[in-house]
Amino acid sequence: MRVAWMARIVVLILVAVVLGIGPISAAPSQTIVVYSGMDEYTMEVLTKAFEPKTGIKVESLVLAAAGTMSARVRSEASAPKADIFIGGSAEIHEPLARDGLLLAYHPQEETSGRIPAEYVDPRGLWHGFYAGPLVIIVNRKLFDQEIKPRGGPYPRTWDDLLHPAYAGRIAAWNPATVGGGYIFLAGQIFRAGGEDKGFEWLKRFDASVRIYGPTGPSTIPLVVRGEAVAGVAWLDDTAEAIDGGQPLEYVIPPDTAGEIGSISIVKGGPNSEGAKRFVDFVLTKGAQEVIAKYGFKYPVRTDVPIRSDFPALTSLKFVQYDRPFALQNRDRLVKKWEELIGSKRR
Amino acid sequence: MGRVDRQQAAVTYGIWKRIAQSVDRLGDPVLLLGFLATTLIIALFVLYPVIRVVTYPSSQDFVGLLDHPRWMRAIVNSLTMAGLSTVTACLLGFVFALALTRPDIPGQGLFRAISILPLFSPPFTVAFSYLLLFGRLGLITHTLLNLRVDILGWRGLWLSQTVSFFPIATIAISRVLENIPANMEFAARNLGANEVSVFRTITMPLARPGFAGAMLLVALYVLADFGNPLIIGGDFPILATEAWYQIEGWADLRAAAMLASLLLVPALVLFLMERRWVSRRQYTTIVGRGVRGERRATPRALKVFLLVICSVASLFVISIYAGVIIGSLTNVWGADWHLTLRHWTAALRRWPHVKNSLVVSGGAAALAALLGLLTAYFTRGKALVASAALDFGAMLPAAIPGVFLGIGYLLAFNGPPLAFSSTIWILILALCFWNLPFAYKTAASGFQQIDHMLEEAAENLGAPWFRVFMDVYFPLLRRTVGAAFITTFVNSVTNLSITMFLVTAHFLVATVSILALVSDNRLGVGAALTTLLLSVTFGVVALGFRWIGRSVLVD
Repeated sequence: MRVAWMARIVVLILVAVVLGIGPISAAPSQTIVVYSGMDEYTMEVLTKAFEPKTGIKVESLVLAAAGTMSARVRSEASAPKADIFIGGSAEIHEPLARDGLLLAYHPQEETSGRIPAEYVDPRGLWHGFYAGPLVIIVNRKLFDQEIKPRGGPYPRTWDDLLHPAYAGRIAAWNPATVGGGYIFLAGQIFRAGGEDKGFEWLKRFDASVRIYGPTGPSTIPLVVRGEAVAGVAWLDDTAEAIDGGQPLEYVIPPDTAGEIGSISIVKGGPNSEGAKRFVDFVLTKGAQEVIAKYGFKYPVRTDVPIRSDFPALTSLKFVQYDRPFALQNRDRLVKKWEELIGSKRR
Repeated sequence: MGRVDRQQAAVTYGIWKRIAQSVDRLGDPVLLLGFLATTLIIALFVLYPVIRVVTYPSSQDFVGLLDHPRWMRAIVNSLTMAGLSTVTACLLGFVFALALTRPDIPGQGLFRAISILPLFSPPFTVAFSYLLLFGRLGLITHTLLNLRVDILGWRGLWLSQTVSFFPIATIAISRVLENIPANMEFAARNLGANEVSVFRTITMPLARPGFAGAMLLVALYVLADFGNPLIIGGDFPILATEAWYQIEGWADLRAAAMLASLLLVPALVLFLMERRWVSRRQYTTIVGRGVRGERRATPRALKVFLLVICSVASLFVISIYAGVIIGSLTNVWGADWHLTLRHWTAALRRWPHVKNSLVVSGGAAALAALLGLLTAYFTRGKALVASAALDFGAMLPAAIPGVFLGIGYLLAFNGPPLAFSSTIWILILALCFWNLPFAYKTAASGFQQIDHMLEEAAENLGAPWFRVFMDVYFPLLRRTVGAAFITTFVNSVTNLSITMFLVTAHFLVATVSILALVSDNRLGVGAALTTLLLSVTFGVVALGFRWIGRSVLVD
């Protein structure tokens, strides 16, 4: 009979509701919850190495979207659900640190002298565990078709991108919406040696820009698919895309800016002790090797070999990046960029 | 006693009288309790999260808005796109509705399928297909037609939103067109009117409220649209994506909550307009049954016009989906055309995410259908103040953009009194209440078709309200409940704007998995997973249709 059938469904739903409520309290202490902005594969390899070593189970939410993860940490501040927030530059971790949402910890490795001081937060709130430079990505086929005939140079430096042959052919980032876009903007200011000179350069660069991509990963598909000849991207994303067979070339230009890939412990998380062990683990030689090899990143430890297809970190010339200045002036500089450049575009 | 006092007393008396009437109407204490519980539940799961989001930013954040030219532009752009895309989507929807409601148009089966397909699409990957086919080096625009077009930006967005949302207009408008009695048109013709004036004086005026309703509904969708502007919009700022950029780029939850709140304003205005001007008026003509005259053959010119437009649009939609399938089977989407199955192997490893999507969506759909039915049961006969409030509450989520609700649930249910943000219930409940308006409206229209004498008869025979509900209404409303279930299910499976904020570490759903793949630049796997999700959803819905019989998908 239909009626009985309907009643059965209702009962089933109610049972499901009751059963579902169960897992709320079921959180064994030998588990840590990790919010990760790293790529999935590296996370998997790290987890498989960490679990047997410590007996602590890792439950990770991997989104390759560090900002979204950080926003979750913030919105859960009243009752934190995560123990670890990993991935994304120190710029993403710093606001959480400032608002007291992170737990201070000083891993032994940070004082061992094997990790350069620039990757160590003296307060111990975040911990740099990889480095990555901004690179120029190039679509070789399009370069040969569109830039070469007009006498444009292959982009070896940031200034090469100012050549008129590149007009309207570059995919950059919007500093108002992409953290990396702001690091690029600040980097150019430091490279030019002053705010006014920096904005002068950015205005000239603007003539070359076809689009200011709204998200971090947005520039690579634009260049691969020929919407732009060249673009700005992170090295790890680029190397990973090339490894996956995407037709792409890259150049690490001199005086480039970089990110400090960071990990932090969420204050008040369910298993802070386990979280500390995970931070220790990420800074070990073995974990750093995994991060270098599968994550396509530069390890922060000086005693860990880098990928054979990467130039030595010491051979890269980074711009003098004044991180405190960049962090303090973010709102003002983004607004200025918006006024001088962003709002002028059609 | 002064005059004012007396007036006040009269007012107080009036209020008490109405409340007393309400109580009387809901005389059965169990019924009253049910009513109160439903109201409380809706207040808790709809109003409370809204309040949490709106009060999260400080008033200074709202004032600071004037300093941000980008966000001011985002407001203008959001409203502009809502205008542009709504008009074109509704026009296209109208053409499809005309073609589908005239019996003598060939190829209706195909057109019907095409007019539903976009509803099943998870965001992102489909938008990528536009880039692949119609971009600067697009397969169709560049390779085939040797054109240089710029799809990134508002023009491309206009196109993709039109295609994404015309199905909603088609469904809403064809409902109205079906209700226009053919014998009225027939009578007009007998009186000597030609086709043009029949269309102008009979069809159009009767279709107008339906058209207006469709426009407001589509406008709500366009305002909240997230996947299209993210991929196609380029750096064209609109509110829905800007809120997410603030989160993803800067982890700035306050700015995001503020931008999402701004989005709520036009959405609420549209919502109130819809309620005031469309829902409340009964435009449908009441005629006796069985006197429907035969519809006359469609004039040749109109037939050709409908066929051409529908065929072109269908071809377009098919090519977009073919693009996704091709992307899932070639080495590097759009760059290396060698066939491969590696994306499918990777996608199939993510089957648990698809399964989670089905579980969450099934749960949300079952709850929404049940709650919609209950709410509709309590609001039958709108005369009562209390039931009008309940009706408003149940319809309110229609005005809440997904991003807003996602943030709201995260803020509202993370701490006491209700902390379940780390369980799958947060996903189920968020999706359930987000879809409540569809379920509720479907159920309400179902109740309207049932004679209340049936209920009275059952009551006279001594049946308590629960028996009446279960034994009289539930069986009669099987199709209605089924339709509500399917709509909610499809909406939930394809949702990203809510799930992206609420997934937990051990319960990832497919749309979020697709987002992660796209962020990781693994578009091939993303395309394969999209195809997989699409086919499974389609399969489930086809089974559902078989069970309830052909019915209307979306109200």
